[in-house]
Amino acid sequence: MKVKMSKRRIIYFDGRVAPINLEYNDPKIYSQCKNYDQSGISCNWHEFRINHNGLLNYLKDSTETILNILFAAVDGEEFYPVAYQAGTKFDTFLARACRPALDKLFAQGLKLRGPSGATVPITVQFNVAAFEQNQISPQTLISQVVNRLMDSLEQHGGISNILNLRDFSSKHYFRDVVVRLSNAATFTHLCNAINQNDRFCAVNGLILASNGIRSLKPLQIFGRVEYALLDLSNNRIRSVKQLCEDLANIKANELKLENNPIMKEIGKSPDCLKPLMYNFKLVDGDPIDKMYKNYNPFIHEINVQTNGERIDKTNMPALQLFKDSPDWHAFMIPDPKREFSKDVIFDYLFISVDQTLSEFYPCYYIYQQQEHRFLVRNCFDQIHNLVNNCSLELKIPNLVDTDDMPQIIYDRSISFYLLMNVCTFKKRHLDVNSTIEEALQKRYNAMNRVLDLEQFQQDDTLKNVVVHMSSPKITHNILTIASRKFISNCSEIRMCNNKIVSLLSARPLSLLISLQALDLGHNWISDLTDIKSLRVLHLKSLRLHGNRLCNAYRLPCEYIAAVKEHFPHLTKLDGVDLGSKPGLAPQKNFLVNTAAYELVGLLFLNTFLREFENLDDRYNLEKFYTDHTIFTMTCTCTANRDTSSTHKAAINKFTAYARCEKMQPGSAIHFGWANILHIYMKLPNVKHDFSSLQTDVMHYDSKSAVIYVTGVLRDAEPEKANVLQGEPLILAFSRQFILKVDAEGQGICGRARRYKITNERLNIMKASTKQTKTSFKLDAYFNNGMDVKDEEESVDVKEHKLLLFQEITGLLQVWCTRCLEDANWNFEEALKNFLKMEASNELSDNSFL
Amino acid sequence: MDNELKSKVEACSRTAEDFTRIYYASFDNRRQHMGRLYIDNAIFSWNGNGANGRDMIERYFSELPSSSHQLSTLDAQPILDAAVSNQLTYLILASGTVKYAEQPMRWFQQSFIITAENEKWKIASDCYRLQECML
Repeated sequence: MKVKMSKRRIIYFDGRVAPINLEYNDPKIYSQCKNYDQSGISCNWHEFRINHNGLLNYLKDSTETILNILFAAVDGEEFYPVAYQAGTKFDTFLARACRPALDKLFAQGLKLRGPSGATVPITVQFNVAAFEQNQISPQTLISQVVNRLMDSLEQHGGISNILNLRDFSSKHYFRDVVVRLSNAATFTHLCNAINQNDRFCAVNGLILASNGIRSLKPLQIFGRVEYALLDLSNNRIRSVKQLCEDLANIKANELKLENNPIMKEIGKSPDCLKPLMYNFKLVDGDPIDKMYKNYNPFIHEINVQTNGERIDKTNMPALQLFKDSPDWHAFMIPDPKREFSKDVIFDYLFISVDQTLSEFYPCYYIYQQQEHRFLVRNCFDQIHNLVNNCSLELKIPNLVDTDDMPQIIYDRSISFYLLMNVCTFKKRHLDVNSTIEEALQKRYNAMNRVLDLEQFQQDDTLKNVVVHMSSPKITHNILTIASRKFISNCSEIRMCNNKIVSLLSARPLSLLISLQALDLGHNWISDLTDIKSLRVLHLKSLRLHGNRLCNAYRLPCEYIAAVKEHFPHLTKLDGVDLGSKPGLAPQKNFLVNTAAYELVGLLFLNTFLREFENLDDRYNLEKFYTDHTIFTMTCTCTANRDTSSTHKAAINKFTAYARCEKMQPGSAIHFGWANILHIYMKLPNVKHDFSSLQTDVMHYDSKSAVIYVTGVLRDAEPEKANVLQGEPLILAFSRQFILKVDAEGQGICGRARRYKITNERLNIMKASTKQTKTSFKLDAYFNNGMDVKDEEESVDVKEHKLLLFQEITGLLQVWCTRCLEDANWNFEEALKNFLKMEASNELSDNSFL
Repeated sequence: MDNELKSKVEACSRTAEDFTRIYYASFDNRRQHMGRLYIDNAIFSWNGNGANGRDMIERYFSELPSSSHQLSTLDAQPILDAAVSNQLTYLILASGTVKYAEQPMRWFQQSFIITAENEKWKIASDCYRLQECML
């Protein structure tokens, strides 16, 4: 069919690009056919006309839609429409050197498949204009644009040298040619252009967002280096499998994928990105390994309304049907007011879990729609027990004070129900043993050969599984996995704070032939016989402090004797060397009962000492005093000839209000809050070394309390003068307080008390040489208001520092460890010490590598 | 400060001096009689190691190495508040130097709460701290 085409015309372009002279020498126009005269195809320009007939004009961006269906039809072949003109009935454009694309278009009968199934016919007229040198060349243009963008590498999120190709096709350089990265050939050409650019080596990351990209195959040529960023957000990436394949050798710190169709699939099963876990650290800002840990079947898979067979009190016998089911079963525990936390729910539940039956690992816990929910599988005997023997009820223990013996009674219970076979087990679901193994690997430090399982449940890896170590079988299983893993390497295991009740057998631990130390501190072990199996291990060090069993002994020597009886090889118990004088090792704090701990903290002592530190706050202490408070001071520290003048001034301030060494009756007794505060305001500003404090709470009941504290403080007045004068004055102090309860029923819970001081004493002493030397080492932590424990450096950080220190100093590892340890792992200080040691020739040549 | 309080403080100081003299003499020379100085359910803390009751305290003392105390500071206050006890009760602080067996001399301090029981002064609580902890 022949259609008379428009008249001859010339298309001009900006710049030095030669115009295209349309002459229409070849009058043949193809439409609705599958074949064309291939011999007539030369390198000349061809004209295309898309006869959409205005049908698509209703769309907001009809041209974009037409281009999309056009590029879909071309299917990845090289195709650059030039001089595209949109019209009301038809759009026209020119193209050349596009033989494979032409084949594809003809193969489809020159019909484009529009949205909602409509067909849009196109017509093609070959050789409408002769190709000449200097005419527009899309490929060259792309290379030129890349070159320009290389001039303006950008900074994103603190990362510099990012090549930003966001919305590449809309760059104004592409006024006359349609460039679509959704087209594989175009994208490949772009990637090659980038790769061949001589400045590419400076590029630290790529932004390819908003480009309609479907296939990432062209990116494979970037596989040699590790980038900071690869931003693929807002594209049309659909297949996870394809993504993982295409990016298999690309490495970057962060991968951005948001706003891609693929996210739906990732949301459903985030572990599908697992093949890329070593390629990218972050995906859309989240650690890649966390992505699949956020997956929870309750959110992504299970519909509790329709999935699973409900078992409640009405149909308990039906449970038997699921005896051999390998599927997940859901526990649903209603708690509308969320009265109980996750931890509490499992503590209660494990009271009813039968320790003789199979291991019980609740997985994917979630509080949803006023219910505590979790999944279990492969533990039918336990479920059977909870249904039939516990009647689907969770017993709530209640501690009651009867006379003087506290007793646990179960006067309340929550009915729960099950949804059996709520979800089949899928490959991406959590496997308990391999999860435990992963967590163990994380907790093992090969450097010091310590397996640190302290608060094991808190490990991020175990977020979706409850390993309740109160169950001896579960603890046994964990240790079995550990022993297989670290067979001859591990020398110490820390298992403190794990609710461990007993250890079934020492078999797994006995496989660890190097094991010397075991920390079982702060667990729920109530009798030494519960861990007697460990006897065969010949442990050198054992920690049992903080277990109920310790309360059974009134004297340290009794306790040591009892433990020694079970573990005759011990040389260290609770960190105390048994070789020296047992029972006489000093303890930091003494509490007459554990409840008294509150006095040491914010309720009284900590608050008091902090407010005492400087004059501005010191006046607040008024709240602790009454008209009848008695206060005396003693000061055994006297200034001598060697004392500097600032130090002298500080000491004199203390001595001025102190009683003499041998008191004169009635002298320097300060009575009532007004007098006491008056003296307080005249004492210098001080800073306490909170880590030096030793506290003894000698008495604590509902009416009164007796608390003593000793420690180190330093003169902090005036702060600046001290800096100029060198070393601050460090003093030892002790304070004695007798407190009475002034008001009860305070605070939100009505259980808080308010204390007033009836008697107070302050004793200032000379600090011993050791105290002066070691004090205020942890000062910085406390100044930040942090708890030391929180700030305590993890083994990993230490390992890192050690390596770094070795690198810098070239010292042998033992020396590095020593330097860092001496400096409390303060890197700067360790280095200073090293330089000092080196300067004074303390290091022999064989201390170095 | 009124006269009543003044006389109480004076009495307290005298008692403290008498009491500590006896106490440290027993500690250094007559360990086996230490128990007599405590009430039945006294509380004792020796560098953070606790012992409850007269028997336990006695046993604890028997384990300590021989000692020699030299008192340098003494202070005492009457505890006036009735909530603590209706009995006459004093808070005493003693500090000075001590030498245990072959060990070097060190500073110590000790806080007592003593109470009058049947006309005799007995220790209700006793807290002993060495300034430099090591044994």
